Amino acid sequence: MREDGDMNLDGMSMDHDIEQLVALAMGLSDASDRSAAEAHLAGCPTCRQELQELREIDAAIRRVPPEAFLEGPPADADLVLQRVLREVRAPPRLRSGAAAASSVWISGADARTGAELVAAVAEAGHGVRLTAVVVGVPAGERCTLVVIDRTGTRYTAVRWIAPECGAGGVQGSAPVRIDDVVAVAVLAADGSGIIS
Amino acid sequence: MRELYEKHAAAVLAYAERLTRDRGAAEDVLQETMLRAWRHPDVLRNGKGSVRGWLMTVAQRIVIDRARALSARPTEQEEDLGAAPPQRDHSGRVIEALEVIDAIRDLPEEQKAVIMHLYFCDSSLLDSSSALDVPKGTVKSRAHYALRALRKSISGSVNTEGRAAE
Ligand SMILES: [Zn+2]
Repeated sequence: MREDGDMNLDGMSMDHDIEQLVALAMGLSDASDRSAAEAHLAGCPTCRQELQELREIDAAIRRVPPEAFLEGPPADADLVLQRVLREVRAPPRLRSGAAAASSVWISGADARTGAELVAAVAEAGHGVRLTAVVVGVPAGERCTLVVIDRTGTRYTAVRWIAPECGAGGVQGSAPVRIDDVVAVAVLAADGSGIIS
Repeated sequence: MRELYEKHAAAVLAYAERLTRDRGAAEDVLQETMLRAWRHPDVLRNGKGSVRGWLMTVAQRIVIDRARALSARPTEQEEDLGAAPPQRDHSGRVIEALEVIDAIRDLPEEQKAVIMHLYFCDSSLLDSSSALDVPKGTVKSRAHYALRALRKSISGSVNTEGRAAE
């Protein structure tokens, strides 16, 4: 499995401990392994380089949605397929929108953070219920979805921690009448706007 | 079409369902994704390309675009929000992440099993080692080979498929 190799690690020499590096990159090492590895890394640019590359690929794997590894057709298989096949054969038609009269869609993207938000705001009781899809938030970020009313007051609808892939759906509610909702925003833990 | 559906529909549907939190909406997204695939046969003919990644990226775009298109009643603020420029960069990053999917699916079984345990089943090193019935050191060295192989295939296939998703 040795490659053109920027590094020859396969010998498992006493110097370069590749298993330790992998464990370190993937966050699998315990405290004593970690300090041993760090001691070696301090004096070994080759291993530092390798660690850096392993960490990059580790991060890329963590961005993959876990659903990606489901195989096969959905359990109640054929319905959607039938619809697809029908549509493939029929001329295009306009589908009616999913938004009921008492709900409104809000969407936005933030040029600075690169994050995107799409939220459905629906009337529910005396307030609103929100279903939002948020994409492009740094993994692990503590997010708050807030509803802003006419007076500028912010109501927290839901808090969550961004998943590794940065994309996720959340639901929440706020005690604001739907007609008074003027904006929806996603805030980071420090109160700065991720999307606003 | 049937073959494509039978291979990938469960993954696309589950992903869409997580994004929309709505089974009916997710089915619509799956349907639209399959239709787009049908209209872009080039993507599918590219042999080993990132079909799964392409489909999931398309599904994600559909969720976003559809909600945008439905944006009703543009009041001042909503118009502000909606007027932001489209995030091409961001969608590029997502596609890059999804490239990893096919690379993982193509790994040799032993390495794939290690990756699935450690990353997607939340197993510890010890759990993985006993589940796979190999020593912890073997888990780590397989993980290493897997990471190196993934890095190689991802850097080697800077995607052409993804662009078709635009
Ligand atoms: Zn070293």
